[in-house]
Amino acid sequence: MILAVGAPVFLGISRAPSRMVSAERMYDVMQGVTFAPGEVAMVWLDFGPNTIAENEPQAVVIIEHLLRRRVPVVLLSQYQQSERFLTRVPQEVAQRLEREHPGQTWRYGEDWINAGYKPGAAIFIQALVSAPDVAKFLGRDVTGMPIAHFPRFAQIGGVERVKLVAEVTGLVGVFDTVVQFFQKKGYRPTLVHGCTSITIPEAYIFLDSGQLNGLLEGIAGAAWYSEVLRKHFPASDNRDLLVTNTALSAAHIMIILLIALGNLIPLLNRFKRGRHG
Amino acid sequence: MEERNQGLSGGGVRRDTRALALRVITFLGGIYFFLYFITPESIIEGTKIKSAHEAISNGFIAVSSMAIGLGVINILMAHGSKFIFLKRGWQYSAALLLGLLIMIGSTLAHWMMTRHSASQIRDVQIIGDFAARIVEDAKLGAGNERSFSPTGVPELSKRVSALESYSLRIIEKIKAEESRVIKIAQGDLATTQLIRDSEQELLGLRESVSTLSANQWNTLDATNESALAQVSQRAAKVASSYAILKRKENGTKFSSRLYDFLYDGLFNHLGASMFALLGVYIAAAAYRAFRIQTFESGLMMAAALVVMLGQISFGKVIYEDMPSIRQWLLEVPNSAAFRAIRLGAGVAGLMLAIRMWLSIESAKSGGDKK
Amino acid sequence: MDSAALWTSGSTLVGGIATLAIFSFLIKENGFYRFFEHLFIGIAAGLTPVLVLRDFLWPQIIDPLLGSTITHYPDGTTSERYQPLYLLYLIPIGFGLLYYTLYSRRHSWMAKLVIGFTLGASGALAIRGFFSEVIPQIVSSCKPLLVFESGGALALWESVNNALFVAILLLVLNYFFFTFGREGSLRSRSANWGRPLLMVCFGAFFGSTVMARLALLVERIQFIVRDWAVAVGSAVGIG
Repeated sequence: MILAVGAPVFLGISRAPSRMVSAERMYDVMQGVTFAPGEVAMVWLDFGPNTIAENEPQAVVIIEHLLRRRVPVVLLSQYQQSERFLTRVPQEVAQRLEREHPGQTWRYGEDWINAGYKPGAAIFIQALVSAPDVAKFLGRDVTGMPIAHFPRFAQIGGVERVKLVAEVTGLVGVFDTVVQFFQKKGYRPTLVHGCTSITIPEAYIFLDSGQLNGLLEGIAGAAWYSEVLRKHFPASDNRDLLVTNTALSAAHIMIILLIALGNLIPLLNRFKRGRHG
Repeated sequence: MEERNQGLSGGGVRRDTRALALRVITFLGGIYFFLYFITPESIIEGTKIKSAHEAISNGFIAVSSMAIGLGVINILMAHGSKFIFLKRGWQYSAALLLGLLIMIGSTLAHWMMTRHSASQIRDVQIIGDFAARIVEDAKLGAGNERSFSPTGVPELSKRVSALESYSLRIIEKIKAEESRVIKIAQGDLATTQLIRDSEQELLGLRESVSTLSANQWNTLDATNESALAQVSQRAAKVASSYAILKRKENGTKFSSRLYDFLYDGLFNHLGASMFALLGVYIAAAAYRAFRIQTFESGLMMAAALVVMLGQISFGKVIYEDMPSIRQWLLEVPNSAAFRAIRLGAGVAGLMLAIRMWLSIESAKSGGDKK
Repeated sequence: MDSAALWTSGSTLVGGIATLAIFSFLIKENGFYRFFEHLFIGIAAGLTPVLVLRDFLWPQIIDPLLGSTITHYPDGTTSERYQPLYLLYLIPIGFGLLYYTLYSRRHSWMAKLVIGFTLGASGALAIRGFFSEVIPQIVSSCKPLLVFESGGALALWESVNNALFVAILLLVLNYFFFTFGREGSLRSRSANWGRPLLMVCFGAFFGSTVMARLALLVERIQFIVRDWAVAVGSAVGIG
């Protein structure tokens, strides 16, 4: 198993990922949302080291897409173990974009802010949705600065100006809380979700009901999304993600072979025993 | 004995009184949100509840947040005693306590550092805020100002004078930090450019502040308003650049590096590795345990095979339309079946929530034993 | 090597050692594994209390309570008056402190009051959450069994899919419906169909779970083979 996974990684082999229709649709959804001045996107990163392998690439592609579009992004989390990702992921994406576009800058406070960990789950979200001034309600960012002092985020006003909500999580119940409470009469944001593979079947029912507008299915979803991004922005570098996806594909083949062997070998043994009486 | 006979315990409070208190408190915990959600918006807006809703919600979160110390106390009690009395496995308890204390210390130090920086940045922002507030209060007129002072808001000229001396003091303070700030550039072109830009902005701010004393401040005329607006805008730019440089400087400090090391170097890797073990067990189980012995298990495996092949790069090699078949499987049969499960679970969850709220769930809270 | 690169290298090296320590459990449980396991628990336990204090209790409760959100201008004025109503925050703080009566045998019953209060709030929120989530699900389950294209022709594939969706939904719902008896009836026969359909759903779950678990393993192996090996090489002076 380790050889099957390690070989693509060691040799840097990458194959084109499998086409994920939901990821393609999510790109169109995210590209189609228009943001007037003062309107923002809200990205919840609710994952920890236990789902980092799938959720971090999803967070990267979502934030990359928003930063490329120069959409102001408010990052926050309901899960304390995500704290570091709220700082690290947008910083790394911004640095990569600045290397890709010399002369352009993506800055904290202008292109994104980190509102930090917000305990309270459903209580917090329903209060956020009712708040007349989201910037004032969020209070301070993680560095202790009042959010109202960042010009691009001070004018948010009510939650109706949060046009897009992205929830990246593998935790049970967290996404449900956003679906249940991040809405009010006359307002429902465009909601996209980066889920771990375990919750893919569950997420599809929300896609069907229209409560969810876009879905990234595990690493495969993130890999295909990065390919779509590369199609529109050829300088975008997704090689690492493709290598990971290829290694994952190799691991899948191993598992399928192991299941096949695990079923065939006892069958063959039974057949041999039958023949010999 | 007498207390027990009377059903008393726990501070002399009767058991049935405690049970009643528990039922009432549990009910009160939920009644606010329940009423808030079922009451029409027009009625809520007519009362003061809507404006207080944020604070009330924060109060609810504060109640449960007060439990933050429980975990730490329990760990200190359980593992602390093991470590102090050198019981079996005390070395591992020592590792746990070490991790706990270092993480708490490092996170607190990191927090204090960012608070201090935020306070310094705020000092710079106050220049712009104060200039804008002077204009606003002057327009509102004496007695109607937004600013507050127990002795009354000072007259315009005194306020401008205070703004001037404060601004010059802050500008000197920022200039004094220049040499330290230049070190953090460390050859990075973007940071070096940022430092040059911020120096220019600081010069511009000093210039704007210095011109204030040249004006007459008996009233707020167009010239004065324009001068204050310029101070406000330039101060905002200086504050913005200063904030960026402060954040970069903070990233080089020991508390920041230690926090990042503990999180990225230990916590993330340890957590990811613990869960990665499951991948190995999946491989072992794939060979040993996943046996197709009935029609239903065969059906399950077939569905699993379609999903697995449809989501990997090699699936298309086996069959071109494998991703589409996977997509159909997830959109139609899986969604239908899972929705049925969710609806059933949702109704059960609703019943449980109602029983929990109304305390008819358990005997201990006074519910019927059925 | 500059300071930042040194810390990054150190972080990678230690991360690799920690990973190998955890993976050593696959051979046999050992002291090396247990040390890092306990270290992980300690670090995780130390993170939460400070973050709750830093990101919620201090800025949202304590700062307003103390009036720290008020800006003091250089001329002695303030941006706003202090709101005495913030003192009401002392009530939830005091009530929440009852959690710590758990450590007193005599007064530990008071902790149940706080727990009950929190459960009551969760229960009420869950009631609203149910309707917000489930009603749209029920509505979208009512799919048209015959779908027509804009030109008037029957869209066969969509119609079949919708009919299949509704049929599977009803069959699986029926499988879980135990309120009325089902012996020897149509319900009994149709309930038998629910089980194989559930197996398809579980099969999809299994297939997805495999990807989730393997992704974690792939990420770790990628880290060891790519990042850690390079860091070790640099540390010992190779490459």
